Amino acid sequence: MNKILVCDDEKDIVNALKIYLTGEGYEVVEAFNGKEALEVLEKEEIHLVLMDIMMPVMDGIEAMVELRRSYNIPVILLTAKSEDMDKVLGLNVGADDYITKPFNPVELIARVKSQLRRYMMLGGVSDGGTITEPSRDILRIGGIELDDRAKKVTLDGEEVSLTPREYDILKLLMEHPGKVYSPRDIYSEIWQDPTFGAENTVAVHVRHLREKLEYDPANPRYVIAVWGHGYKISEE
Amino acid sequence: MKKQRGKTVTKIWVFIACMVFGMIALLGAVATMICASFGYYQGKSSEQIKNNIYESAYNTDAYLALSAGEEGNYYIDEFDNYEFAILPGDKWSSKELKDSSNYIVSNFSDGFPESYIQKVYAVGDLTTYHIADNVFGDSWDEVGYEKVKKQVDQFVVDDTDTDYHTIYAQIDGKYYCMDASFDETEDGIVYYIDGVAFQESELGTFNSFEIVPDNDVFELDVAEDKSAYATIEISDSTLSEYTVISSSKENVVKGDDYLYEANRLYTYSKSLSVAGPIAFIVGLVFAIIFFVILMSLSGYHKEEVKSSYEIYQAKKIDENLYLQRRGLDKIPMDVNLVFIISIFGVLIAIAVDGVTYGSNLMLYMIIILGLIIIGVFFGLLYSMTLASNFKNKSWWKNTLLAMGFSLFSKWYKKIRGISRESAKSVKMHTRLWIIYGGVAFFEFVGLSFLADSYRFGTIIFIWFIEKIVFAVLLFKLLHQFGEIKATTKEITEGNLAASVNTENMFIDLQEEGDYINSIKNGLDTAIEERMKSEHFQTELITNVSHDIKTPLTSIISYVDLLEKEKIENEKANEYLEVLDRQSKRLKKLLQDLLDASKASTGNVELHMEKVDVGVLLNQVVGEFHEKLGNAGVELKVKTPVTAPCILADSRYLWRVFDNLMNNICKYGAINTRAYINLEVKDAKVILTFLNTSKDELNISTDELLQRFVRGDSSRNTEGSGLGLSIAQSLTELMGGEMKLSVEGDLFKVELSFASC
Repeated sequence: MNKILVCDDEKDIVNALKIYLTGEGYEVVEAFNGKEALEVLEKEEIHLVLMDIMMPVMDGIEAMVELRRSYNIPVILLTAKSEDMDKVLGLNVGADDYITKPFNPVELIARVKSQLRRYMMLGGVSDGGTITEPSRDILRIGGIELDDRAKKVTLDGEEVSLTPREYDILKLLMEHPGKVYSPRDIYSEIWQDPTFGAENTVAVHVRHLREKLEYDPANPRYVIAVWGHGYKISEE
Repeated sequence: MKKQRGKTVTKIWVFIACMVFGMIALLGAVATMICASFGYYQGKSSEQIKNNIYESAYNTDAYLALSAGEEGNYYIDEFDNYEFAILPGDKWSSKELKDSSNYIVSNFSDGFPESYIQKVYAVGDLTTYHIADNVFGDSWDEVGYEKVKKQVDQFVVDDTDTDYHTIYAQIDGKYYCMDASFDETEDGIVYYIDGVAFQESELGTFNSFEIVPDNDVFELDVAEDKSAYATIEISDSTLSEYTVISSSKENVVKGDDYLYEANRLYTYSKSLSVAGPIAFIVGLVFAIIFFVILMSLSGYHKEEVKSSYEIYQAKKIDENLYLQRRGLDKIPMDVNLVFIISIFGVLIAIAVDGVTYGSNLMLYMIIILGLIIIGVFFGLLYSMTLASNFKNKSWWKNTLLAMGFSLFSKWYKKIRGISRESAKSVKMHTRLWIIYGGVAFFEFVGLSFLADSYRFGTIIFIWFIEKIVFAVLLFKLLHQFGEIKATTKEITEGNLAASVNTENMFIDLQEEGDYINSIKNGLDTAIEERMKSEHFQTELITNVSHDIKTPLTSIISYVDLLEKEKIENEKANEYLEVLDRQSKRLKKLLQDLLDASKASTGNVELHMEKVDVGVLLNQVVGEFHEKLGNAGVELKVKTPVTAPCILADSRYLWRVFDNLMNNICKYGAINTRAYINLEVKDAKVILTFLNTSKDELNISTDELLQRFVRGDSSRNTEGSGLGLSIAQSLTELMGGEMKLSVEGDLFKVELSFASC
């Protein structure tokens, strides 16, 4: 059983988070400012921290800096600010992820799962979580796992059903993470046909792919459109 | 040699060696010349040379004897080396000569000598004795010299110099200059020769003049040297003439005559005639060698001396050897040249002066030697600076002339620059100068009527000064006015960084400039205030929406949790759904509000890059494929074969497209077509979005662009009414343009960007 520390000065939000997380089978410890969070961390073995940035007594950034001195557990920041600068600051001081308020409960759970899975895989803890040996036929980007032998794609461990075209596009993108493929490249690669004017089809397929693989398709984390150039897959 | 380069000691030694050998060459040359004047090197026998040298001794001794005789006691008893006799008058036959009763005095020991020299000398007062010759001494006014009567063929008056006429006597085709003065009288020009007045017309007839030339008198060329004077004796002057017989003895002994000296001179001259040319050649060769070495050494130095002036910076040749101008090298080359010329001028003047007035041969020789040493010393120094300047390539730059020239050209360029500047901003500029020139011309024409006036020169001078003063005033006025005008124009065009530099302006223009500056400052402050308040507004909106977000998070979360509680009450479920929808809409509204506020104030960080519009349109079509299908709108995209690219931030450009496409989905009438046309016109990429509105568009396009205004007044559909406003702000931030137009139910958005 993974223990999650939830830290926010808003009791209602802490409560709501607790309901969601316990529903998923996690044990939740509460804290209402950065200082309390640090105290809890000293006493108990925590596997993941969910922390607000704007808090009294000690804010999230300060607590983050303190926390990183002694712990390498995943930390997800909760923030009302959606400004790029705040995200950058949060990630710079050592946060592993961030979620902007108001958050989507499904997305929140997914991210928590994703962070925990990665933490376990890297061997952060000795117990719990099965570590899958990465094999040559398995491509992995964040929470997405593509098993080419079984032609199976999972997102955070849950199977996602894709059409063959979507599967091919995903595989192409995942084979070269970070590389931007233009719709024309993708079309000629997947359809093996250099017909012009069929690029719209690619865009539709990528959109479907995104809807299936992203909790918030408007703010995609993996399948990213580089507007005016093409598409890529990357772990942010 | 290379090792020695740059050493100061070496330079000094080479300098001294060069001087020493130069002196040797010079002395050799002098000795050679003296020997040549005695008759050496001209194939003459030693007897002739001896006679040449002796002859001057004869003359000197005759002078001694005659001048002593004037006082009563002839000197000839002391002449141990002569047979000597003096006779009165100048007309003696050889027979009469041998008659000792005719002698005034004689010291013949064995009677009349077999070989002798007979010469006539005149003694008395010669009024004019300007003898330009190379005999040292000036006490010739008591004893005449060898006197030869010459017929003057003609007198020539040179009146090219109006203040000083010169008269030449022409004898045997040669000209002798006479000392004369002249006066302008009513009867014409009168010349005074030896105090006797002659009319100009009389001059040609004075053939009775006797001239006393000897071998030392210069023969003049009229066209050349006019400064030397021949001795002109007027026939009626009082001269008593003597005939002198002299014969030198075989064995010369030391005595009180000059023959002994002449003999000694002859003895020395024999070896001198050989040593002189050798000394000259050897000295010259070594002097040239050392000179070349000295020239190649000059300019190089062992150690580097830092200079704050770029032109004196040392140039590194190799390890501790530098080429640099130092000390005397820094003196401008033309100053140097003038200095060296003056030095030589002074030296030559001293030498010439010594020739004319010197009386002591030895002293004169020493002076000449000193002058030559000084001359060579400065000549070598000058050559060294010249060589150094050549090596530093500064022989032209390092002259007062070049400095003056560059100063002048800088000054000229500045004037020209200012003039062009004011011509650019002041339209009257050229016209005013034409008027100025025209007025000046007519004034000059008017003034020229006064040319007869003896004050004409002064008038013209004052007029000229006045013109210059007014030209300067006009120039300054135009410049200052131009500056004020140009700055005002810049401020008008929105450059608030511009300000008038009112320093050194004329009083009224200065005030004008100050007023403009204060207007500018006012504008500046106003704009800054506005920026501040806009910034404040953005900050306020940002903060408020953040504060709203926290409770909204709770609402959304608990609505979600409530939905998960299985509630049997159907109404409650319906209400929950409303709560869910509206809370999500509130979330969207908040985000749009933030974006609109940031976009409208330009508080957005742009990453401009080339964006392929064709690809972007493909992506847009893909993204909205289903949404359009649901809305019942069919999308038609028209693009050129080669899709253009534009410079934009792709994320924000997507945002613009997203907003516009969402509008089409929201407000497009069902079962209609929407169009996106992409075209390139005049280096501009134009994107047109066309759709048919499902509701009647009864508001103006301006209103549509305002925040929170929506096509339907009922505000029933989702949306914040900020979409178009955000799209327009972002488009403009990226340097594009967005235009709306409404025709009936036809809604048209036109985006244009510069193509790249």
